[in-house]
Amino acid sequence: MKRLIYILFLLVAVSTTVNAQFVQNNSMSKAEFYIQKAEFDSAQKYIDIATTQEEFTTLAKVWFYRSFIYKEQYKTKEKQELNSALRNECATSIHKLYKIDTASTYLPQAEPLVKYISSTYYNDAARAINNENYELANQNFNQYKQLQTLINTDKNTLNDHKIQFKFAIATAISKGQDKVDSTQRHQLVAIYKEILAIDQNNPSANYNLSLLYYNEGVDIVNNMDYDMEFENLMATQEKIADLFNEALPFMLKAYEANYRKEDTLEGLKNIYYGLNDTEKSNYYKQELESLQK
Amino acid sequence: MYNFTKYIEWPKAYQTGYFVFGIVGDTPLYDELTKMAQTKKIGNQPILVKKFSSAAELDKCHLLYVTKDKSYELSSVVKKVKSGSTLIVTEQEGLVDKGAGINFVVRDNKQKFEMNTKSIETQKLKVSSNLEALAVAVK
Repeated sequence: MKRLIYILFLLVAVSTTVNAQFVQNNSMSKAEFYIQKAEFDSAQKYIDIATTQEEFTTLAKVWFYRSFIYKEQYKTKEKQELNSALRNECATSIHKLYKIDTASTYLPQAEPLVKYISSTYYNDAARAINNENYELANQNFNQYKQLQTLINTDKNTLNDHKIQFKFAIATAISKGQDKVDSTQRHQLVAIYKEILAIDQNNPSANYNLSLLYYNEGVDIVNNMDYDMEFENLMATQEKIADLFNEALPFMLKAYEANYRKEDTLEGLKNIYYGLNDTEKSNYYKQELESLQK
Repeated sequence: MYNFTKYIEWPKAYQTGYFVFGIVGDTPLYDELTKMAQTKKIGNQPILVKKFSSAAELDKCHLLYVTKDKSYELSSVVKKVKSGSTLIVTEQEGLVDKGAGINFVVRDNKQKFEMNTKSIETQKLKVSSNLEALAVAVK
């Protein structure tokens, strides 16, 4: 009996020692252990525990590991998802890492990971546009932009990407047509205004925004009823004039930029005509005619 | 112009047969009025749109629109329609004082109208005070 107890004791002792050799008894070490074994489900479980524990939550290493684990999980499980929760967790961890790793201990190692994840967001923003899910496209693009900001991507480059992205959405919404419904019009106005907030002289955005206002006014004119009461008629006329006045400065900017010269001249001719400014309308009409000769 | 007819009353003799819109000069308005005439009436009167190239050609009209390009003809037009009941509508600054009953003007890039009630009443037309209230100026 004494011998049996001894053997049992020995077995327990050996087993504890063996375990201790593989995994120390804390969640952080367990996560590291499973990362090395490429067992990312377990690694995820322990790193999530570690991030809630006071002794680990402020360590940059924890967030670097968590970023890495969630990246691997995303690659394995949700690579085809346009809106991946695993990838979003990865991004959250990256942001946390960049916030607390003031000594930049893990940032050089994290940079390729940031580049990889941000590029997936960019690609999925484009895929979401193709699926006409513009809200998700915007979300993905914003994630891309925020991640790129962490690795000090040049601001001008980011702005160029944003402008390209916004134009891609605008093209998808309008489907290349000038005629759009009221919902599309509001979406497009917001997009072109966003572009102009980045680059106020962007000729294409100026031209397209002007055209949206102008066409809205023309649509109202075309749908007016002969029986409209005088008071309504006056109010409607005010609204139309307001729209043409909105359209004017953007068309002038496009014209000054020599963008689609014939189209902008036609636009200015019509806008001024709509604003009852015959003199200016004729001025642009003549310029258009001499251009067409 | 169609709206003006709702606020103006023509004498009995003008309330039967066609309601004639006359136009002196060239304007896209002619096509618009012709289109409107296919579906609309003034009271019970069907609409007829006539185009004149000068004051000399004028005959009976209920409402006569003188285009900007033909504004110089206004005095001849006024003489020609003097004995009838014709509302003269123009679109040139100052013409409200030279015989037009209603004159379109542009104020702040918007088309408004001014009216001369004396000229209108001379033509034996009754004008509603509601129309006066909508004018930018009443003479």
